[in-house]
Amino acid sequence: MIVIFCDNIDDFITFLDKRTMNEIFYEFKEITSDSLVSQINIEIILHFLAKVESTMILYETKQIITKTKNSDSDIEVVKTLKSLFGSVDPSLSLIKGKIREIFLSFSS
Amino acid sequence: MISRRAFLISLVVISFLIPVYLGNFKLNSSIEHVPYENALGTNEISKDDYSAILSNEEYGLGNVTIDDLHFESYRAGFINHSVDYPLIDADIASFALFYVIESIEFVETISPATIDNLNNINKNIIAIKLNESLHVYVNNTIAGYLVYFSYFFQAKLQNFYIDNGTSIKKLTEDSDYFINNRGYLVFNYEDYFQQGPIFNFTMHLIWDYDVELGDWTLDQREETPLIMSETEQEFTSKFTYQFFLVGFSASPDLVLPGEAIYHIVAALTITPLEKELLTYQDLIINLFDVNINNYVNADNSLSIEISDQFKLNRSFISLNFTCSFGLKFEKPVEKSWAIDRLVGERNLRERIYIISMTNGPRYIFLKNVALYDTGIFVDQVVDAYSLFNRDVEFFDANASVPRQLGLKMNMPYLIFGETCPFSIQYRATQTLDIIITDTIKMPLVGANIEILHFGVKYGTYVSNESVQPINPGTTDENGQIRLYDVPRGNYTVRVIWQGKVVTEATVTTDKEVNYVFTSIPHFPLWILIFGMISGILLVAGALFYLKYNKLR
Repeated sequence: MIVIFCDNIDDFITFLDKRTMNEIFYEFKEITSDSLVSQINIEIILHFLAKVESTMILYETKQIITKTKNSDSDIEVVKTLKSLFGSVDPSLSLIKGKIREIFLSFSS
Repeated sequence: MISRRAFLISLVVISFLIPVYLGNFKLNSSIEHVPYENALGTNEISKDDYSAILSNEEYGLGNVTIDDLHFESYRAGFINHSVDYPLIDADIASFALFYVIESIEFVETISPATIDNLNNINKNIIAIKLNESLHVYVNNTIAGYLVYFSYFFQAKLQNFYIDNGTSIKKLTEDSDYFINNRGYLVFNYEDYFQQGPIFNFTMHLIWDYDVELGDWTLDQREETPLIMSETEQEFTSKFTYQFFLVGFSASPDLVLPGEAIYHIVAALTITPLEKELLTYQDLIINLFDVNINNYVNADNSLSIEISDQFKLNRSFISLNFTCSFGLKFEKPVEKSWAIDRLVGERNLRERIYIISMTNGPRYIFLKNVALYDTGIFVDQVVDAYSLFNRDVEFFDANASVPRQLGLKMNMPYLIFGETCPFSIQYRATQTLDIIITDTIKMPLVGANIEILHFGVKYGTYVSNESVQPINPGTTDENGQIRLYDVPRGNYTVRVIWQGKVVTEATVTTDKEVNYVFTSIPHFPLWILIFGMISGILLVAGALFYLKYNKLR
């Protein structure tokens, strides 16, 4: 199994035509958690699976969003991403899940 | 014949001598009274005489090292597709570039995790070396390079070897490969090999990788409180030594750690400092109570084997052991305190305790040792502190032991070789009221008094080595001496009469009035006795005179 990390989300979207399934997985990761700071940075990590011959390839990228605590801006980001991927291909769906570790454990 | 004049003179002399003799023979004492000295002796204790060994409340935990790793499966690392290296995806997607992980092997432990509190070493990381072998297949690639990073979070590439099937060669950083600004290894294999479009090779990547010991702690755990009730005492205390082992996988952006690694099993050796002084009780590995005898080595270190399934995903060790300590109060006046002195106003006193640790491990300090002092009540305490600024806690003794009067103190922590004076500042509010009486229990007026506290003269400075005693003076017309603002407790009153100690008695602040009975005769009785003797002598003289006058 090969993991390719794309620095740029545009490249990630370009590579979507190599996908083996229509699901794009996402997970959130809080990267600043200072309780005194009202704004927090959150990473949204995106994955999809591709296959070259018998080798699975996991494409991954990330986006960092800044939101105020207790705000629903992460939901807004997911909505925006859904519409973005929907515009690329309406059959794409965004699913929350930690696919990389699951995939690594099955493929190794 | 004795002349009449001589006889009369003899009578007069005898009438003087007898009272003088009788007035003294009852004071049958050979103790000569030593008068009060005014010399101050307050310089016997100096802060400079004591120094702390520990600057922080930290234990020495020794070493933990990894002996071996067993990989249940291998995980390859990550490829980076970026603006700088835009063609790598095309090579992989077209199968022009393909790699497979052959093995990852544990090479060695570079440095163990070490916490040594005496030498300020605090490193909870075990640095290890791993050899990752990737077999790479090249078939008409476009890019001709590989941008790769290992699966291990923050691994640092130390060496890079290439095996082309016939020989193994060590590559040189910056000329043969380089690490880009994101942290990925960039290897332009086309430039390096300068050969046909189809070939394969094996990359041996030697990574330095840090495995972390989390929550690596030692805790003193007592089922019953440790009470210091003697001047010198031995304690056996219980401790729990614990940690979890964790190694993190990398995330492809190489910034944040990924998941804890759950497919690598570690064999460990745990070497506590001065392990020979520790008596192991039990061992828990990942919540399972195991037979500790199977884990203890001949040198008293402990080994965790591969078969224990101690994985890099927060596998947990908990080791219980006991060890012994010896504590001693230095220069004690009573059992514990060394100095009690007036430090301000009329009754603000300070009681200093000089506690030493005389034996025990050098890397494990002892805390939670309590002391009872019946001489001070909790509401009298103004402050409590130790020379090394370590916590001194105080409570009402009655809260711990029913009907126990006085103060309970938790002494500052100590490590072997340290002496840490600590003190309680308090307001002495007790009154010592004493009435001295003579043989018929009438007040003894004008007797000199000395007050001793635990055998030492009581005063504004009390210690074994020097005192600054107060002079209570002489008993008043009621035979009374009253001392205000003294510490609670028992005292010895020494009664001095005509320069000699006539009696010593124990008195206490707990009594409203302390009566001390002496054998000093009551003065009006002597007047009566000698008046009668004088009368008898006068009558006898008169009879002699009349008899001999007639004969003349």
